[in-house]
Amino acid sequence: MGNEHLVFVPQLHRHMMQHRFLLAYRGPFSHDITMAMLAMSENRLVQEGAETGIRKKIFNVMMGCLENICSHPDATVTPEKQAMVMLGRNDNDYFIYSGNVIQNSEVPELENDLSRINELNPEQLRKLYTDLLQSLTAEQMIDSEAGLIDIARKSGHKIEFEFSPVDQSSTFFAMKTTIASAHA
Amino acid sequence: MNLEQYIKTSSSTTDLGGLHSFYRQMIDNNLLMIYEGEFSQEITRSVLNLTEKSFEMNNLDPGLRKKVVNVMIESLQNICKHQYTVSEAGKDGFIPAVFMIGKRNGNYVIITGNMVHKQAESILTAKIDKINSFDKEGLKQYYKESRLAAKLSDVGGAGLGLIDMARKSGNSLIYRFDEAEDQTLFYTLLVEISAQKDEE
Repeated sequence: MGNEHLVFVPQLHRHMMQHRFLLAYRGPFSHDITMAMLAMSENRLVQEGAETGIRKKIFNVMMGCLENICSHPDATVTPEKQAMVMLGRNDNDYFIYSGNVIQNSEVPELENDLSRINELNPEQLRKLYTDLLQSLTAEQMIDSEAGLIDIARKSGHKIEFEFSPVDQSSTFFAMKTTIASAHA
Repeated sequence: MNLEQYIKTSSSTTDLGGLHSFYRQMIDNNLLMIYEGEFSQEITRSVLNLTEKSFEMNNLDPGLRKKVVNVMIESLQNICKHQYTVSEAGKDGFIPAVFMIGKRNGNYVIITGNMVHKQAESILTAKIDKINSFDKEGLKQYYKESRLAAKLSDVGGAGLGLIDMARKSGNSLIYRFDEAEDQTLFYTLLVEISAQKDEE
């Protein structure tokens, strides 16, 4: 059927259709790129007929994920380790996927933070977030788990995550956040 | 094969495992952006905007940026024009098209993938092979002739967009057809835009 090296295109197309991925971006992230990515997602959601409230939630969670990537010192290193963000959906929910490469040494703390966040109910999450807001400086907030707590609060679902080894020193950290496509 | 079978031939695992293999594929094929779905004017505009921002961040040469954007516009227009052809004829409704930007040999590549009717394969193959057979000057001439022919006839299909993409990219067009559904093929087109400047 022609050029063998193009076979990845129908493969990715099928992969995207199967998982209903809508858009994916990989590369360096800047403020402008973040804004463009958010605008593109917004356009896509409008096209899908998503309600304003849901769009707002998705916008906030996506911004949180992008901030998380931007604040990460490893986000702009070699192309092999560039971060990615994706938007997907199924019949009931939208998903924001983010993936970036982190140092192996960061894994235990991150895993611990996410597991702890996932055990908390909405009220406990709110309290923890408020406590951090009051006790930490703005700079400390960026380095803390506050961003993740905020993502969990806005999504209203557990954060799914996975760590896959990349090489001896680094790990691919994948995170999936769920947002219901209709109000409960 | 039906659409369900087509989708299920994906070798991916589920959920987050799927994400990592997807990311790997993006890296292996050096892809920067993928969009799949319906292409409207707003979507086209935001795809262009995101790409422009990425070019700005990478300090891409303005001349090259213009060439890449031109090819992108042409590709996106091509998808917009043909994306409903299959759904009109088929019973499974709309099948999303895909648009990708990546890098290859240090050059930018624009890749589009969309469903076409089986009958289109021979027509497209003939058109692209003809375009690829010309050198730069020949292509210029062929573009002029095709433009004139397109003006004289409403039938269209002169492949002006394809000729223009070949001219702007400075490279041959690379394509592939894959079996999708009974009467439908998945048509992939890759345009590589040379980073080196024209002598003109």
